Amino acid sequence: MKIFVTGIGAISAIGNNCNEIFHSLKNGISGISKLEFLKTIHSEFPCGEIKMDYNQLADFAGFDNQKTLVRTPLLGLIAVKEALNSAKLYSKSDLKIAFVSGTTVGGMDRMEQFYDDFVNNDSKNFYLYPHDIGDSTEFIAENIGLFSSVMSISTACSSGANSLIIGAELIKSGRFDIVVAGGAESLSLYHFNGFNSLKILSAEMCRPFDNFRSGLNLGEGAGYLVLESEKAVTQRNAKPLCLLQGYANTCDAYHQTATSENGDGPFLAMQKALELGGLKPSDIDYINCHGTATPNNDLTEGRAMKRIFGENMPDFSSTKAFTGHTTSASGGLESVISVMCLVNDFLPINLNFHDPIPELNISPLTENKTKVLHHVMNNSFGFGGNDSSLIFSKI
Amino acid sequence: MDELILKLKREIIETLNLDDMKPEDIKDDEPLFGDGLGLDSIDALELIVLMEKNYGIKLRDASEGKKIFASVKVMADYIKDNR
Amino acid sequence: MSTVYLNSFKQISVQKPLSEDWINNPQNFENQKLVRTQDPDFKSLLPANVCRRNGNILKRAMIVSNFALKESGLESVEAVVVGSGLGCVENTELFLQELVYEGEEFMKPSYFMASTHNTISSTIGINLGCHGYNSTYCHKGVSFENALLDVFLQIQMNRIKSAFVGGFDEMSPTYFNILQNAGYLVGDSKGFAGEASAGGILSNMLTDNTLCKVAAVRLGFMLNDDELLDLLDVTLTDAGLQKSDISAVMTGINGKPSSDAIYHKNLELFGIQAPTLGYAHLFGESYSGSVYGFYASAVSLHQNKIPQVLFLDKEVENQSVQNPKNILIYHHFNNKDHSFIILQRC
Repeated sequence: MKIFVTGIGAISAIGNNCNEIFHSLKNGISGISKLEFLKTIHSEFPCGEIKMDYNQLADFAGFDNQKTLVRTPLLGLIAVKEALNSAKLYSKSDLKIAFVSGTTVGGMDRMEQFYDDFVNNDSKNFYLYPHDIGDSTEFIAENIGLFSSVMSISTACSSGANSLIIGAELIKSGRFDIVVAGGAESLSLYHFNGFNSLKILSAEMCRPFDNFRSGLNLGEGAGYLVLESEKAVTQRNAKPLCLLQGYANTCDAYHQTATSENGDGPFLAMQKALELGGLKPSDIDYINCHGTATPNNDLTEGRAMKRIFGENMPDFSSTKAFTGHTTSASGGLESVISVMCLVNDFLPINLNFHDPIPELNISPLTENKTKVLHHVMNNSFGFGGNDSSLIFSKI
Repeated sequence: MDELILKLKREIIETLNLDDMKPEDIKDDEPLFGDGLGLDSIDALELIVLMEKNYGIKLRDASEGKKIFASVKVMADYIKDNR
Repeated sequence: MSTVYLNSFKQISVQKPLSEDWINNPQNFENQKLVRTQDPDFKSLLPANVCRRNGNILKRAMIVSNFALKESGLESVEAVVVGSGLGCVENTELFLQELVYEGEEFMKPSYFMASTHNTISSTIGINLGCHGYNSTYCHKGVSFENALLDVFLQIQMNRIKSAFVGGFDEMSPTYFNILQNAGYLVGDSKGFAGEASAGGILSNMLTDNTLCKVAAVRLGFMLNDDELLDLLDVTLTDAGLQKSDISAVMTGINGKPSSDAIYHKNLELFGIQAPTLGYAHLFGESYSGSVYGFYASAVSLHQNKIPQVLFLDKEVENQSVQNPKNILIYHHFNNKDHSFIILQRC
């Protein structure tokens, strides 16, 4: 059964919608900057921050009630609305529509701001209800009103990708005609300091796949795709952008935060995604890599790519030097980017790359490229060795 | 010096949750990682926090820690020299 | 489509761990608001280094998954999927308290690493050496049902042959107070808050140890009465059943007036002539506490008898249902999320 992608929506530090994001990619404009809205003592670490406060985000999302504003679900609502508009999906009709959303931060931004109040004052208790992950999903779903079923995934940095995987499976099971799936994640002091405690934040602009990479820049954003069955596409007369042809999630089963030496989990994810999609490695024209620019990720992802592709490495780049690592949103956001690349036959540059990693001796794209694309792979790897690979294909 | 080593051992046991160990179970020159106490990379990061918090010594990353955390004695020497 | 069997299910809870002792010797927690888990002796069940590094919820997850795999008779599983409404609360709180009260300077990486929600499923993945599909669902009171649906569909569609599926949540006293003060947990309930750690092996294989068949799993969101009835109909159709085939309805009725009222209203709407069961008076309320309703139903089918302790109407003595064939499990969360599961005797 084919899974059609009929709509995309995203927001990130390089743009408030898909067009702006694509424009920044084409023009090499990075969104990594000094933090303004997240108040931290560690201001030496730049991030891909969206330069809007709560009220500005709510206005932009068209959300009227200004009382309880949480950053992650607002980002998600903005991207989901754009995805639905892009798919021209405005009403339910008799189609069964589900929503699957991934996040890990959820309402942690408010939890960390008001924790002491929760414990001692109880004056901000209305921010407790939205503190859990499921609530971010329900907030978006309630404001859209099209979904008869909702699910929430949290697999850290692969959450968005895994939402798309179960989204496709829900359609293939025949239970749903349309699934909107992806991920959203705002910056929070909680995970910013968590990543810092693991010593994997870089004080410079991140350099994915570079030998002298010094860690990652965090980012925030959201990315959602509208997935549809052939029946729904025909019935709605929708204009599909591409197919979600292959996908797989695997477990490295090695360590909570590090990937195994030869990238077993990433290798299996790419291999199984190709298998499900009925594709050979040589069919892949471009890989949008996980490429966080941590020493461990890029080395092991590169090794896994070499195990799959051998000497015929496709063009690849990480767009994290544009957006920062948007953690749970990255699988959704970078899927949106992959779809835009595929549709426009455009391959974005891997910013800040100079020297190949000697163990790998492979180089990502050092300038933008235009070529006819048929199949694009998107990798997302998360804590706990949670590894996902998606393949988008032209129809 | 012995006092610092004993203090460090107590701190390591507490920080790394080595419940069943007493300071005398850790030998001064026993390797902390690998075969010694069997600690891993996250333990190394915890020891970096310990060095910062209790002794004001900043280490940039875990790879620097590897040499310093060779044994409790090496750690103590490093603290003495850099405090 | 493959048939989905439940080959084992193990629990650690406020009742005696890793046993079905609750059937004949249920512990009573009347007048308590928060009851913590009765943990087995971790040190005798797990290696020392594992005990040192991992929080309680992770130790429970490893033990539950070890025992479940052993009892299932399978050597390995192809996937691990977990539901957890709040994730690793204890470590989250430790990291959060450091951040809020001690500032950003000396944050401990172990707390952060052990606080990510999917630490539970990845710990089980590492523990069982499972390199296959690994996912975590966090959706309020239907977190476990989200996870179950994923595995159910994947086995049905022959993506996988077997999986571990479970529900895990923990509750710390401070976290409990926060939620309780805000009225989100327990509140004016006659019941109590517990924790959840339970899971088992689903596969496409009927074995000597199989507890029951999982015949249907359905989720719904923001449904009106007609839509809720439609969802029930679809659930029954999935299992090839009619309302009259249902031996009992397992619910999340837990003594909380606002929530129980919705259960009673919806049960009347369903119009199923079968006794109503509950488990929250035994295992307590938690985001993935519904896992115990699934477990208790499966044990009832396997033992060919629904024990008296699961019946909610305590006035009637010596209740039990012999030879139950189909148990419908219904949950709602704030009347927004709804879930139906049908378990069937093999």
